[in-house]
Amino acid sequence: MELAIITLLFITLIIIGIPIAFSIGIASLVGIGTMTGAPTTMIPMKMFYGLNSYVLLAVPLFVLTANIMNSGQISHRLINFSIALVGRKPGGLGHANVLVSMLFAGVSGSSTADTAGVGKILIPNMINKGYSREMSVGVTAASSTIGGIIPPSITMVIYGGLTNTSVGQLFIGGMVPGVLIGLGMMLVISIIARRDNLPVMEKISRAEFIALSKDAIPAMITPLIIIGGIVFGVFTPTEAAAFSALYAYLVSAFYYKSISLKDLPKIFTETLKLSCLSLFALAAASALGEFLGYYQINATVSNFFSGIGNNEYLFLFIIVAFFLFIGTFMDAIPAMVLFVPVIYPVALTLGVDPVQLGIVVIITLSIGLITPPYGLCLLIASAIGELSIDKSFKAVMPYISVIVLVLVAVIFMPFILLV
Amino acid sequence: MQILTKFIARLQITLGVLLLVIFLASTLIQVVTRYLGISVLWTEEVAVNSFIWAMFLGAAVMVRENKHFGFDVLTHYLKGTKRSILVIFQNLIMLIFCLLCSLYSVEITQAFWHSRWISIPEFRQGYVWLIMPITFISSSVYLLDNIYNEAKTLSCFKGASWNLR
Repeated sequence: MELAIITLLFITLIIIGIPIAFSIGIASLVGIGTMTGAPTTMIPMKMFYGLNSYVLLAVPLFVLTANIMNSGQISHRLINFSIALVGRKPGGLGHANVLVSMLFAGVSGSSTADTAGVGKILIPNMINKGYSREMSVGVTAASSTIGGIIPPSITMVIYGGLTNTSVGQLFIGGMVPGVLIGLGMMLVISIIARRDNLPVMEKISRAEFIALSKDAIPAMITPLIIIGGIVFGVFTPTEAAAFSALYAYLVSAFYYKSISLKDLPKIFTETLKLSCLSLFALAAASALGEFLGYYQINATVSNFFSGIGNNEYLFLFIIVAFFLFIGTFMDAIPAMVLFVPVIYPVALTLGVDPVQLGIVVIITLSIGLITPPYGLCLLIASAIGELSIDKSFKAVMPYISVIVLVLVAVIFMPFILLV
Repeated sequence: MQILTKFIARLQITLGVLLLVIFLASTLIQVVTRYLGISVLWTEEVAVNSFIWAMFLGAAVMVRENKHFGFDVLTHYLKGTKRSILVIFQNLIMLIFCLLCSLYSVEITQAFWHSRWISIPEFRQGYVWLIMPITFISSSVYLLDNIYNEAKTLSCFKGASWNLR
């Protein structure tokens, strides 16, 4: 009864617009208040301990790397390089759009920054070159979802923090699915290009290509530092994030000469403001974990799955359906903060690998970025391309089917996660 | 009130940025010293504690800026007075939570006040826990300011002596 009231209270708080972190905190406070002998000091204590984890330092450090790189107008350089590399294929700008998202994912890990940064340049460019508005918006929004899947990924660090799963293994696990999604999207573009006879870009000279490569390669080294450093045991994920931030600054300041010391206070302020939002929600979720444990919610969910046959595939499909629904109106990080602590212990009892669960959840939630009503990448791309939301959604559908196919592959062939 | 909250927010952001620099530097020092074979024990504890302080300071300022993740469909759907009443109600609920947590945070800080850091025993653990009351008390001040500013827009308070400027 108490649990039902607290759940109802929580849902009401969310609906009336109380921020998620506060809704969790208030529901936990009321819940803990109903427990006999539970100290009320538990809420601030659990929130504090929620952030008392070395791996979580990687979140602001990756945000810092992305902010430094973005200040150096990295999107321009990666776009020009991508066009030079794949622009000669039919539908070349579409291919370049996907390729730049894959490269950008390795540098920044932010899908919305990708849509905004790349979309502003490529959507008008594609429309001018004869691509339909639907194609331009669709491919830009859909390819941005790769941002959270190819490492470094902030959502992976948050998942690692919530479940004590190795962030390094999650990063490695995201590589193949991320690349497969990119290649699958390029295949869709090739089919559309053949059907609609899409244009190719003009040929560029070898000297121009070398100049563009020299411009883009220093930025593209960032993921090599991060992944290489973690895989070869040089760094922990947090240390890799710190070094990538230092590298981003050195490249932007001394190679690109696009930022100076006086730009740093603004970059650091933006980093602090952006990263504290997800981490404060994560801190509140730690308080919720205590409360869930008391009411044995995990056992209830576990019993539900035992009742339907203890099947790990069925479990994963239910998780996909659930997060697909949640992702339509909620961002990935708050959705994970709320529900991963509930499903994670159940997954363990069913024998699901924590890395596999993490990648499944993260890929599923990335679809939420391009589904209405609250698909941020879809909203940004449709605004840039001046296309209605329903037409934009129709345009991303072929690419969503690619993501779903890769998701099914991750469920049935977990060996592609390389862990 | 607005001058005061602006000043506190600025102070918190400046301190937060400084701590961000400290934990970045500590993490870099940790790697460099490890490869140089020098034993530096304090880096991880300094980095984590600076990180906790920075994130909670930032979170408090985001209360003032009303930027925390939320489901704001209803807030955007409502207009005029109804919207203002909803915003005041939201802030009031958050204020009650923050005030209660301020009290509990003071209690918990007192409980941990005399504990010591592992790597630097000269430092009290209480200094780190102090961020909890700071976060909730400053958030309460910001929420009060938000309520005051929203109340000023309500027609029933137009012309009130406190709402003349």
